[in-house]
Amino acid sequence: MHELDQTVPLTSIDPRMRYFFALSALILALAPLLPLLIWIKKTGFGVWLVPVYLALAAVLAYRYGKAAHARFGYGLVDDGLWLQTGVAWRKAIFVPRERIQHTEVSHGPLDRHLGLAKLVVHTAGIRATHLTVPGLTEAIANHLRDVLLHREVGCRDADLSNRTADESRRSGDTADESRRSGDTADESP
Amino acid sequence: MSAAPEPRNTNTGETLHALSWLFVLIAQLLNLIGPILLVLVAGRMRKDDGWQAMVALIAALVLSAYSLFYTRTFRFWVTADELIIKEGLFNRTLRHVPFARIQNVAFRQTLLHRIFGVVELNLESGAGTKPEAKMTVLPLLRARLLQQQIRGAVVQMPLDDPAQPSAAISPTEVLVHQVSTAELLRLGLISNRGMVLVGSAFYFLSQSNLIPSGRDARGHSLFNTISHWLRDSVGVAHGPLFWAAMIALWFVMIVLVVRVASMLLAVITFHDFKLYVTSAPVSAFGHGQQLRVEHGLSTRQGGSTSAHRIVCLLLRDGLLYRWFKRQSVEVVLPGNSHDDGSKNARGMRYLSPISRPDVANDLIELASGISFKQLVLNPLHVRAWRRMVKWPLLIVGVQVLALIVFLATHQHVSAALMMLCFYVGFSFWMVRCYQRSAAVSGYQLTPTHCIIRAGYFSQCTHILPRREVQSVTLSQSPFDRRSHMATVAIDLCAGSAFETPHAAVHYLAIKDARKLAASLRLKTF
Repeated sequence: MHELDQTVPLTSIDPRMRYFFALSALILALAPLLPLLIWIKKTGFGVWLVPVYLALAAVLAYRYGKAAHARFGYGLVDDGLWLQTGVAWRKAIFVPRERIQHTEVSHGPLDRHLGLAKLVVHTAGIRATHLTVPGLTEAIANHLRDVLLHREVGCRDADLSNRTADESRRSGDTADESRRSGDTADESP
Repeated sequence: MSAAPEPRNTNTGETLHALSWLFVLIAQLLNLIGPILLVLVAGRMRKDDGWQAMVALIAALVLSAYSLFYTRTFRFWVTADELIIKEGLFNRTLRHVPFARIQNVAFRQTLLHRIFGVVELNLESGAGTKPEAKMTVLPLLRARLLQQQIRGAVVQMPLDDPAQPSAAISPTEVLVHQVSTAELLRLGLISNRGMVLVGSAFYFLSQSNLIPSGRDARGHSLFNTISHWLRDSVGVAHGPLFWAAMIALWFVMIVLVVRVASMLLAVITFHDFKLYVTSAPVSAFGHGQQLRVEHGLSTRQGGSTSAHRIVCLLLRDGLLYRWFKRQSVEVVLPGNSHDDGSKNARGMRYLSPISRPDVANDLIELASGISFKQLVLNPLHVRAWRRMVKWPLLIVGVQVLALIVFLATHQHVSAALMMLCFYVGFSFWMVRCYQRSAAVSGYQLTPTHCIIRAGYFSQCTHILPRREVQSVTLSQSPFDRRSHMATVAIDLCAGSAFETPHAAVHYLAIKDARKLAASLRLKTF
């Protein structure tokens, strides 16, 4: 499976994504149907071609979907994110953690129905401007985002929440004082 | 931004040039050129230009008043490490622009600017398409001084002495490269800049009845003139020879016209090209080489940046470049990739539009520290040239085959044989060229930079700092898989996806590609 970069262990995405891949391939395969229909209408010949074509397209799209799912993988490493895609034209992309501009977790209507989420990682690049990892559970997508955004996410978040809690506890007592000191600071220059 | 306190300086800040309103007004009018033309044309068609003229007059007055107020209320302050700008008519903004955030300084000076001795400055940060600050317009010397201040060369500003700012201009700025007019004419011969110009000229000519073929009864069209000339003085009126001569003549004419247009454009754009280098002291902005470029015949433009801001250097070479023994060095900077026409100055784009190869190598060494003298590139896959030559030969082959069949079936067997001989010779030449291409292409990693060279007919060498790598892509097409090859592509954070050539190494042996991707990954930051 991992032919392009064998050093990185990759994780697969949700198996139901094969239907997504198959569906997108099928939609593409429907495009040549229009000239076919026009030709049939003109010549009145070969109506049976339509169901044959559709069946063939469905079978091929399903096989493509399976292959695309099998080939799709992502790998989280210390210094960034690997992504591997493609069936015939294969690709492995690496984005260094330092180069990630922002990330987003999004859900389409179908995603929501299936309880899935999509992680989009944006870079400042001009060609590979964003990477999309579809077919994640919401928990995994959020976890990936946190890990990619800041390294020690867990402890730093905890620190932050502790600090804010402390501050809010203290602020009640010292609010008047701080306001007074602020006033004097304003007058001094 | 607007909530920030007033600048610390005690004075009221500096103002723009007294005639700034004129240039702001011109910029506004240029923005509205479409509607203005529409109004004028509509007015002329209807023959009653009473109210249109009134509307135009009122609009012009409002615009002038706006320009006047805008430029009169524009104030700026320069501190040791930032520029503070107060601008705006109805909602006033106070903007602090730290020098460290200014990636490049672009300037533009049209003929009108030059008459009044002023210049338009754009200070650009890395992100976005809009300049961080736009100063329309400053006196030339003040602009120079501001550039120096931003680059950290002059920290102390002679606030109370605007009369002689030239004394403050750093004496360490050195002219390292300039391009003569003869060189620019060579550049015109090499480059295809004139193509667009000639293309649009042809379009207008075709509207004016110069180009259309035979149907023109008067016989004055260019096509007819040429065919008459061919018939009368060469004695060829029809048949394949006539058409071959016709195509050849047209080809020669188009090539000539494009060359002349390219030479004109090259001279107009790059007249008196100068590259200056300043070794600035360590400052908040950084340190090292500061580069400044200016060029242009009627409109002077250019910009300045510091060498460590360069995202990528491109060394251009090719068939024509080699014939003239020249190369060109382009530079990709963050922030100057916006393609909104000529409204904004675009800053620095070339270290040298044309120079001898040794000079080009010196310039690259100056800007990046990479010397090509000891540089040996890692080779592509040994059979890379076969993949390269396959498609061009096939495409030309199919066309030639069609032509041969056509000629042979129309009793021109000798011509068909000639074509066949031509194709065989052409194939040998192509194979040689692509073998050469595969031999000169390759990549090299230094501790700081990645160097990628590709192509022969049109060759481009990327010299990119490894810290600028945004992402690394390793890809394989089905053809690649069959021949155990792969492509490694590097994405950069500046340039334009359409204009800047892709930094990619094609036809690498798969194990080399994996190694390259892995080592790029290790040291991308």
